[in-house]
Amino acid sequence: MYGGGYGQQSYFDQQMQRMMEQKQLKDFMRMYSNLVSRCFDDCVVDFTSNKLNDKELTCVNRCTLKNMKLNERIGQRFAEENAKLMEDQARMGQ
Amino acid sequence: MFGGVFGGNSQKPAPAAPASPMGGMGGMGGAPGGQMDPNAQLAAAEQEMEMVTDMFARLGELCYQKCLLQRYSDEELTKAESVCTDRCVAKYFQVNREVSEKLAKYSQANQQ
Repeated sequence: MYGGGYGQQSYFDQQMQRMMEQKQLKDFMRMYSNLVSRCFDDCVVDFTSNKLNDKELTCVNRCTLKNMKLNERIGQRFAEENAKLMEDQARMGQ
Repeated sequence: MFGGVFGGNSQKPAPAAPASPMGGMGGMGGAPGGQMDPNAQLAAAEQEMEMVTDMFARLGELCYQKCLLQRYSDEELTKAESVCTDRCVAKYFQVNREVSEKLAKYSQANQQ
């Protein structure tokens, strides 16, 4: 891809890698906090106790798993749509 | 605009959740070749990734609102919810395209 300049290439790759990792961590943290507020919001309704009751606990468990599956599915479709979009753009660019 | 973020290759560094669509920056910088300043290229990649993660997060929230909101009788996505999700994503992209086309036309017309 880059003729010559091997040293620069690897420095660039390192920077890129670092940037990607930071972004992914940030992305993960955002996903995590969204999940918590979503499941709290959807499941926790009873404030007569300071512990989650059985119903709430079940709900939180299902909410976590189900939302992970939802995100996974959205991710797959998103990647597909995005690939399609890029193909279109590449075709228009020619 | 979204050039190459989902280049379809699969190097996936550690903490990425299965939820994340990040698949490595496959085609990044492939087209303009190495003439571009690496720092500028890095900044462009960063911005692009920011945009895509942001879009993904918003999409997640929207499709959750449309397809799943507070239905936890089961931990599995139902057939209906899965289909809804697929359509939700497709339509989100369609709306994106429509809006950007209309917006382009509109601003072009206004410039004259």
